Amino acid sequence: MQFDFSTFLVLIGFGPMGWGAQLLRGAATTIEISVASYVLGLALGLVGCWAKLSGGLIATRVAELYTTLVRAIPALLLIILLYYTGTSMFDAAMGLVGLKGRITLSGFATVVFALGFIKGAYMTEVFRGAMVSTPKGIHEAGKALALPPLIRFRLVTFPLMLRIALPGLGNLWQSALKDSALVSVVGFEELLNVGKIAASQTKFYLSFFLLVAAMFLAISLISNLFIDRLERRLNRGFV
Amino acid sequence: MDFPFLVEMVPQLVDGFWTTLSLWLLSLSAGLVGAIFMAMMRMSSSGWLREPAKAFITVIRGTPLLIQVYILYYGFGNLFAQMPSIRYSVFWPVLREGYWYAWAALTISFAAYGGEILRGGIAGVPKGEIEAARSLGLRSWMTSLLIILPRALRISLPALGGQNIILLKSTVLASTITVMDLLGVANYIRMQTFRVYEPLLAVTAVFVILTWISAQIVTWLERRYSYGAR
Repeated sequence: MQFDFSTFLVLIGFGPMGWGAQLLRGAATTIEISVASYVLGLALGLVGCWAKLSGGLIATRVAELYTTLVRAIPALLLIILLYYTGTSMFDAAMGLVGLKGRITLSGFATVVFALGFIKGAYMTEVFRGAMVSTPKGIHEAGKALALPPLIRFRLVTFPLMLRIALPGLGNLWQSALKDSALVSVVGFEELLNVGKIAASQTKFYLSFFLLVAAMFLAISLISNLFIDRLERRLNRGFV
Repeated sequence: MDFPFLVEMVPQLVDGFWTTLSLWLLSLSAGLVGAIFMAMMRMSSSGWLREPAKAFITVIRGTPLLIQVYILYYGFGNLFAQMPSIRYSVFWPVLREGYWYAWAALTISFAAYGGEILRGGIAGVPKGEIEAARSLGLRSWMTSLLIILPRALRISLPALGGQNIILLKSTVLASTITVMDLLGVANYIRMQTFRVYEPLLAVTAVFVILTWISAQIVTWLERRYSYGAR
């Protein structure tokens, strides 16, 4: 089969034969699951960081187990594991509170949970590293001013920590975006999966996968611009 | 957990283990060589070498590895199948196997990420050491090979070790292109027997052990090559 560029243009267009609309919807889904899992990861990371640094013995042990295991297991393997067991565990949990069958986990929620659970382990380490490198005197000053712990965290520790954590957080966003492609393996319809379906139906394998790669690259480069700007803003007065 | 069943699947998992291990080590060794070349191109004084390397690294690091695997296997694989000169050549037995496409994707990926790490390492080699080597009469290529490269490798060792673990974990992507690595075997067992936990958890355990071992090796290397107190 010779590559026919005009046919390919029709295939990626928005006409009845085109995959343009599906691809754009896939890209939107990819961004949605990446952002949602990233936010979930941030929350888990903050909890994990707290558990590692100021939690009790049990909380510390649990957090250590969480970060060690999750970071040692391939993401794809974890996604398959969480995808197939997550739903049944959720159903069991719902059964315990007497809501069996009333609330079910959507594919979206399962995928976001799996991706966010993985990101949370890496976030924990980024936050912990940032927290450790904030100057000690600042915490003591906050304590001396008798600020309550949560306010101290919000006004003193967190802003300082954020500046140090930002490069790590930026990297993790890039990897959250890339990891989101893995959920295509369990059949979730995001950008890569749409591309896969389009490729196998039209037989334009190389072109469609290259196009999907270019779309991922575009999202990644655009978000890089934002991260750079944010980094400059948080670093003002420091360089 | 059904232990007789677990024992039953051991031979299959052992096959998958060797596939995973060889895929990992082969792409690590090729990827390291590629990383050295990438770093050299990236730091070259010629823009004709520097800019393509920069673009290559941006593209590889900005797109999911899974897509790169698909581009190589489905994209180029289909292209090759349509070319009679390749389809009926002696290379076809190699070019038919998903294994070698996965190997290529992993190697390229490690070269790109590792190249950036090494670049940082090369930049971190103290200037005085390079000048000392030159003043001892070492030629420029000897300085690169005997002084800069070993020092840069030592400086980047911790980061390369981390990248190596990422590489190990990425080998499971081979299972998406019909390779019977550990995850491929686990998925096969899962589909044949409808048991989810046993095969996947067994593979998980193997990966935890492999990660631990490779982290230990890197720690040992770091201590072995620490050149006195630093």
